Amino acid sequence: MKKQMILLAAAASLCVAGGCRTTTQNIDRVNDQAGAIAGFDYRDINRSICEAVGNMLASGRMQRNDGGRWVVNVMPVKDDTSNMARDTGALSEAIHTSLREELTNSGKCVIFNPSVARFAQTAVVPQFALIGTINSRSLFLDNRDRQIEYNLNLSLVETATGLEVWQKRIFIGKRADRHAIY
Amino acid sequence: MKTVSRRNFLAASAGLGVAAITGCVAPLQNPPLDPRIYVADNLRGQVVVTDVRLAPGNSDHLTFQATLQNITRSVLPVKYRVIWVDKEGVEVETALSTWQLVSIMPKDITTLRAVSPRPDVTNFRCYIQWGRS
Repeated sequence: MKKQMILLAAAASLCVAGGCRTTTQNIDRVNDQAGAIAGFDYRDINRSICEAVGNMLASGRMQRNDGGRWVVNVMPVKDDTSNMARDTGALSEAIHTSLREELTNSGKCVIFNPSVARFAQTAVVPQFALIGTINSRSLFLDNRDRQIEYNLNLSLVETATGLEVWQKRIFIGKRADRHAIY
Repeated sequence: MKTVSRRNFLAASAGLGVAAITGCVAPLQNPPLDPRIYVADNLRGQVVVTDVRLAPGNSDHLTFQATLQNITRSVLPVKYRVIWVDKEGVEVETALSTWQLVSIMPKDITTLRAVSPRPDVTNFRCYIQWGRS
């Protein structure tokens, strides 16, 4: 009995000293089996971009009869989330880059780059501006768990007239423990 | 002999009558599945995919739509992903092929939708799995 106790204690101390840690793994971004997290992770970015760009392309607003492409100024996405992890620039940048990537690949538009355009020899005025904001609200449920509501709001504005030709609000909601960091 | 055949005849007609009243209906058959749709084994016998459509709609980007019915008595969390392929059969890498989540209420029907990322896309493959995330 004493020997068993000693063995058990030794095993427990070994576990504490060296073993019981999560091993580092690479994320399989196509088939990620990990559970949801309270923050707005890359899966949420992909899901919201998928919904937004899919809706915009299906709406026919980017359709051009002569087969040409529109010049679109994709404005930086304003991040109004109450981000506890303090990486606000990264979220805005990720959404902005994904939007530009998918719109360029769609074959419907060319992305206007204002930082390079001022050195250009030919002046090109973008026909559309894509404006985006992302915000979050944190609410408490009756059992004091937390409900986090993210909204990505996008609107496509015709620059010549200021008219909005397309809008989309994408909602992504999470329910998590009250202590969850998001 | 004559009595037996009469009894057989009566039994057969009674059987037919019972079948007609209680419903001698062919068992519910799943419609033949579109070969471009792959339902995972963990959802087999729980969902029925019907009415698969692929049409350009308002633009020259194809819109995929399929109807999915939950034939169980419990809520089913389902995820689906549409992979787009061009005319050479090459898969198009895009964020528009992301896993999408839907929960289907018991006996309810939901619509799966996706839009192609490029106009030169001609076909798709749709993967449907049990999934909660």
